[in-house]
Amino acid sequence: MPKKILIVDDDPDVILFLSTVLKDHGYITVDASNGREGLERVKSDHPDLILLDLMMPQKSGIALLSDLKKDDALKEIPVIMVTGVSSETGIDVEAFFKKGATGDPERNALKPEGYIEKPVDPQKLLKMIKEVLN
Amino acid sequence: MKKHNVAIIGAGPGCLAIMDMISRDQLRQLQMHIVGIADINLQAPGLRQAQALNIFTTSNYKDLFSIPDLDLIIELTGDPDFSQAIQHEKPVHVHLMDHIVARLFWDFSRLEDEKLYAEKEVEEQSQELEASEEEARRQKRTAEGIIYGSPTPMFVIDKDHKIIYWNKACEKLTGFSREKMIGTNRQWEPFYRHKRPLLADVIVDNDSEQIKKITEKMGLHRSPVVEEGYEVEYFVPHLGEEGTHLYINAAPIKDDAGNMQGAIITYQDFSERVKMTQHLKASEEETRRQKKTVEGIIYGSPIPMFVLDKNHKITYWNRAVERLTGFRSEEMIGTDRQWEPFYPHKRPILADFIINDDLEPNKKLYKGMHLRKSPMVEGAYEAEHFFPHLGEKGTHLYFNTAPIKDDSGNIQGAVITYQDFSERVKMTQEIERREIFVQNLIQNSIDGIIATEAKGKIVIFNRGAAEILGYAPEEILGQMSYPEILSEETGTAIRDAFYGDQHGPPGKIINMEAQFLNKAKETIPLRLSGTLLYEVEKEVGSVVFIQDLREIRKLQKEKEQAERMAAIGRTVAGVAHYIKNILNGLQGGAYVINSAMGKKDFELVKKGWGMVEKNIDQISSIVTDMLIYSSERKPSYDLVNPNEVVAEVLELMWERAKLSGVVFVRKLDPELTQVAMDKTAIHNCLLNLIGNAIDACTLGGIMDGKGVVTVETDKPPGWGVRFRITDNGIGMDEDAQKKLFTDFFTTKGYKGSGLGLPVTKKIVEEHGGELIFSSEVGQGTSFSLMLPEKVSFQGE
Repeated sequence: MPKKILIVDDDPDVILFLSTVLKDHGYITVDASNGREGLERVKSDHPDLILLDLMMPQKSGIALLSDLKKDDALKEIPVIMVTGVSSETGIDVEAFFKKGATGDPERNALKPEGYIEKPVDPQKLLKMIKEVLN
Repeated sequence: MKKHNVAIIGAGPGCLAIMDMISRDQLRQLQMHIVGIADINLQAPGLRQAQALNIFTTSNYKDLFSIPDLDLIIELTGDPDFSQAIQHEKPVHVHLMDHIVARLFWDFSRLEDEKLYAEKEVEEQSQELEASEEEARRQKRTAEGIIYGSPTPMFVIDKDHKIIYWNKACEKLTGFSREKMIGTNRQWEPFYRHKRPLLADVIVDNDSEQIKKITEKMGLHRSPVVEEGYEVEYFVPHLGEEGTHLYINAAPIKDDAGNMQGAIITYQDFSERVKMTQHLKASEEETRRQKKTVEGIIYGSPIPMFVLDKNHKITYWNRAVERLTGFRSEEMIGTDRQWEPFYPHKRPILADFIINDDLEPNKKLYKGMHLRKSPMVEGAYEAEHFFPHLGEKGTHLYFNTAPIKDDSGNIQGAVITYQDFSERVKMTQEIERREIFVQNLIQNSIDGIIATEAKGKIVIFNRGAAEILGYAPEEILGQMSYPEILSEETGTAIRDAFYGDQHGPPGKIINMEAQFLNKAKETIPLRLSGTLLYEVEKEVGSVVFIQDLREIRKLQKEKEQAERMAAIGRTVAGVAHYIKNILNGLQGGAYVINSAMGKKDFELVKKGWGMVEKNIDQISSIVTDMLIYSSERKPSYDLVNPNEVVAEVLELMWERAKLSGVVFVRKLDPELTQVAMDKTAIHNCLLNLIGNAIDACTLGGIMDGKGVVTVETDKPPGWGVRFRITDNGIGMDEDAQKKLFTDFFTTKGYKGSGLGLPVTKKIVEEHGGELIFSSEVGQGTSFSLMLPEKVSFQGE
């Protein structure tokens, strides 16, 4: 049974690129162009993994991540954040995800299962997805 | 003796004899007056004599009987009968002396005369005797005269202590008269209450015991002028009203044999002298007091001064001069060390020359010291000099030396006063220093500085002005006035600007552009600021500051260029990242195409190709932005209706807005007419601004689909069009607002080039338009882009 992966990104080119990479490697992909749509897709399509863009219009990746991790029914779905390079965004993403959005590492409420910086290296992404799914 | 009126009868020689006899001295006492003479001989000598003497004469003797008061008839006829007849005929009361009795009378008279003569002889002898006595008396009188006439009170006592002289001065001194005193021994009375011997008595007695006592008690001493005399001073309390101070001289009078004959005492009333002395003392006191006052004035004076006497010795040296020189008055007064504080070697000072009256030949010593006659004090001189020897750093002194003259005009000394000029000189030097500073400031200013005096002559023309206008300052200063370096209309324009308020308030010009003529009569564009100079509301000149606009414009261009080059340099990194993102997109597109080609999925190929195209467009777009931003370009104008441009841009942005959940609101003014603009450039500007507005509403997903971007157009007064793009997005904090137009500043991470707003601003400015904004965090941002009504072609 091929695993289903939800790609949430406001850039259609990114969706096209990522879905092409994932389909070529045997995954089924669904996509959403913003956070709100993404949440609907999670609920309707029950993905096995979510690739979530950090900065998006209409509910950012952080907001969606927060909603997912607060929802007991959804919080087990692994999330890989796809981010801009920290040197360009000015956000220390690595530290952010280690501590979680609450700043309290014990609670880990906002800790994604993985993160990967743009531009996305297909091999690195496939390896991370494999690890997270296992 | 009874008076007898006598008539004579018979005027012969006997008559003459009788007449002679009667008239002679000795018988005059008989008082016989001849009242008439009778003789029958009218030639008789007696008659003639009588007629000469105006005595009554007659030839008839009976006429005589009727002479009134006739006492006696003398009959000198020698005729006894006639004598008998007369006896009978004469009046009863008249006596008759006949010629016999008359003869007797005459003889007796003759005898008397002889006796008188003998007596005369005796008398003459006695008179001789008397003359010698007289001489003695005269001498005595002379002595007495001396004594009595002398103004010096004196008296003389004889050896028996009786007063023999008591002169007028003595009377006056004592109030005791000579009559009362002479012959008495009351000489003590004027002087003492009780009888006691006077010095004169002691001397007459030669009482050496007493003399010794008086010597000891009262200071009696030997007279230096009178032999054996003594002198003493004594105050007699009850002599005169206030007592009398006497100087007493007493000397013995001795005869030739040396026997004591008496004593002479002279007094000198010292009271007047003592009074005089006391007065003198009082006036001396006054003088001393005045001197004290003068000393007080001199010593208390804050003006350093000292006084020299005619021997060049210091008599005063006041506290101020002590402070000035550091020399104490104790060490200076009485010395001639007046030079010491001022000169390193002994030399006369100005006062010494003035006292000696030999300044003239020594004037060369005062060369460079501004020696001059004092305008205040006659004979005084003043000078000024820097005394390096005086004080720590030397002292600059003004000094005045005035001679002190007595009533007869003789120099008695000199008074020297000082004024410390050091502070003043320091101030003067400071003022000079500042003056030089200001001069340097004026001269070295890059701005041209031109100042005029009231009549318009140029008095300051600095190097800056010389460089701008090509004149040497010497050609201008004091020679030329404005009209010669201005075009005519500029002159009027400057005048109008000074007195009007179109370039700053009246009296000032702020940043006016004007055209001057340089030496080669070329027109030089200048920026001019200036001010009229006033002194108590009176215009006394003007000063203007000029900047060569050619130079400034050149500098401005160079600066802009340099800034652009720096910006490009700064940007390379940012651009590199942006291009890297695009490259990633291209690579992504290439991956998709490759994958699709393998699967022969042409639909996917198309999608991949779209991706590639989009990224190519982005490259195209940033290259355009960079070209716009880095190069100087003129807008290529077309007449365009602004609403059309807005419609096109919104059409393009429609999908992106929809994707972002942003709603557009249009408020376009349908009345707008065509405006000259570079359509492509303004199109890009609006794309940038509207794109930014969308991003502001979606960044971070905060707005969550409630974003609204309002696009308005209208025509404010003075502008051709205003585009206003307002969003209700996140807004900008102060920091972001400050950096807004900075090249390559972005808040959009890899999605923004950071060139949008700088490029927009540049385009707007190239149009002569304006781009302004307002923003508040959490409330949104509004940008207004104004384009001018009339196109002004700026620059070359």
